[in-house]
Amino acid sequence: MNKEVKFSRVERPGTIVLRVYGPLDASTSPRFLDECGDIQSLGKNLVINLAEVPFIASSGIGAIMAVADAYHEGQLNSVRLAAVSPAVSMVVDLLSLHEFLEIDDNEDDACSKLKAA
Amino acid sequence: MNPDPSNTGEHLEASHQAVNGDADAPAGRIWRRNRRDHALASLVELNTDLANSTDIFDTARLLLLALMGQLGTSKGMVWMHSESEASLPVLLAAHGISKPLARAVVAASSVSLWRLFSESSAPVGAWDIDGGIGYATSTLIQEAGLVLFAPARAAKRFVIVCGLGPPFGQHRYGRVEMSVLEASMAVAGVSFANLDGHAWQAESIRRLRSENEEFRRREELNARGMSELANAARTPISVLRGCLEQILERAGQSERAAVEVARASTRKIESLLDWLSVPPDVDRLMKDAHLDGAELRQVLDDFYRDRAASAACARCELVLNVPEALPDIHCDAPRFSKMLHRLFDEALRYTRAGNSISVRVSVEESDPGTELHVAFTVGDRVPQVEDEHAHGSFDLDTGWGRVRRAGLEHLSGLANEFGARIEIRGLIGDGGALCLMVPVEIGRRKKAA
Repeated sequence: MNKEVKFSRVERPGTIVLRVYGPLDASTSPRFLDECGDIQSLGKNLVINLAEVPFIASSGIGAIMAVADAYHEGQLNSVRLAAVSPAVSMVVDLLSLHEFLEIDDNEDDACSKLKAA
Repeated sequence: MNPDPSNTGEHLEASHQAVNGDADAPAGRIWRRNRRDHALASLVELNTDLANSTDIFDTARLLLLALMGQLGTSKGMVWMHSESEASLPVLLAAHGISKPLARAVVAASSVSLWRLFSESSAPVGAWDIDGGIGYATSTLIQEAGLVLFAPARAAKRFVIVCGLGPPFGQHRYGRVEMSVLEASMAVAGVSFANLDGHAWQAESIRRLRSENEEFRRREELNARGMSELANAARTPISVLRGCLEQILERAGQSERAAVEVARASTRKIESLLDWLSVPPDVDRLMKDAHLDGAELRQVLDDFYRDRAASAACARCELVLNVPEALPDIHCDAPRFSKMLHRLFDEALRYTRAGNSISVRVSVEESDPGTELHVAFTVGDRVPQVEDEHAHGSFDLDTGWGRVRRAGLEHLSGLANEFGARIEIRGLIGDGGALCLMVPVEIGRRKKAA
């Protein structure tokens, strides 16, 4: 399996969309956490687009939980997931995390909800 | 911990049923099978990932993320128990809990949990620690939001403890989650024991190698001293032999035998001196610093490989921060390496367990517009501690007095030999540091010369 992961950022008003390209596992989760931590330190809302994540390991789910918790603790900004891939969706369903993680069908919906909040 | 009877049917399944209806329906059975498969796959992943990890702090972070993902919780921490009663346990990783709070929980609960886990390796719920912890500790655990503690053991030795927050939407873990947790901690226990053993072994080998080098250096010094002594003694012996030969020319029969014996003895002494004055073949280390081009990245890689284990043995993390592009500097690689090791030894001596020591390489100008230097900054980081309370490895107030006390004056002299120098620095919010400044241009000029 290709263990490379890439990230791209798209600026929206008050929000940064982080697009993830590649698997989220033990080797890539630390970079994912760094990216999200960096965005949180900018004082922006975060939308994580997981459409191009073909595989997610427990450490990847743990990293998403950690990011969600960090935003929750910070209180000033929020995080939402968007366009989750089938691989991610299956694990989120299995662990019933859809009630904890706020998930939208696409980036636009996620950004609109963050703007309205 | 006995799982909550109301929750033994796996809280996740209950949640799934609420959404999808009867658990006995085909969809429920498929979900159960998928959940079991996922748990198994998670264990396999964890096993593989831990096998590839070489650093206790990285491994702890990885374990924690994996457990959070497997069990659906957003809070957790991992700490390592110390073998020595005099040492405090060391926090290795925390998520969703501030580091000061996590450290306080570790310090407060460690002894109670150690007693509990000495008797049983089963995870224990925070509220099931009957009478084992006091009110203050209990309050700290509550504040951290931890509901479960699980130990990892290897070869009947208690290695690490993991504290976890509640699973999302629930207060307690179900049977499946407890099984997954116990299996994961068993895997982690072996991994941490191996890492720890590997670090001690690597550190022992490094020390042995270092002592061998020191022994060889002393041997060389000894040989050189003998050689110099022999050279110094050769002249008086020659004078003595000449005198004896003069006496021999005028000596009578009765004295002749005694003078012959004396002359033969001087020859023996001369041959002994010849033997002593053979220069040691490893004399090269005593030569002046030579400014060959040092494979800097190689030196740094070797340094990290050698010293990450030293840091692990001291329960500290070594963080090497090297830019992608390094300028071409010229220095005496063995001496440079020795200096880096000495600076690191100094940091290691004063950094408390659980903190990290950073070796940062950067290109700097001493003053704007002046010569470029490559700066090797060795310092400790005291994360999550306010600046005014951060106590670094290097006491900046005492300045060079401290450097002299630490025996680094000699090191400073070594650095000066190839135009480098040692500076004391404060790292904002990061404690203190010593910095080795190696000039880029001076090195080139000396090489050209």
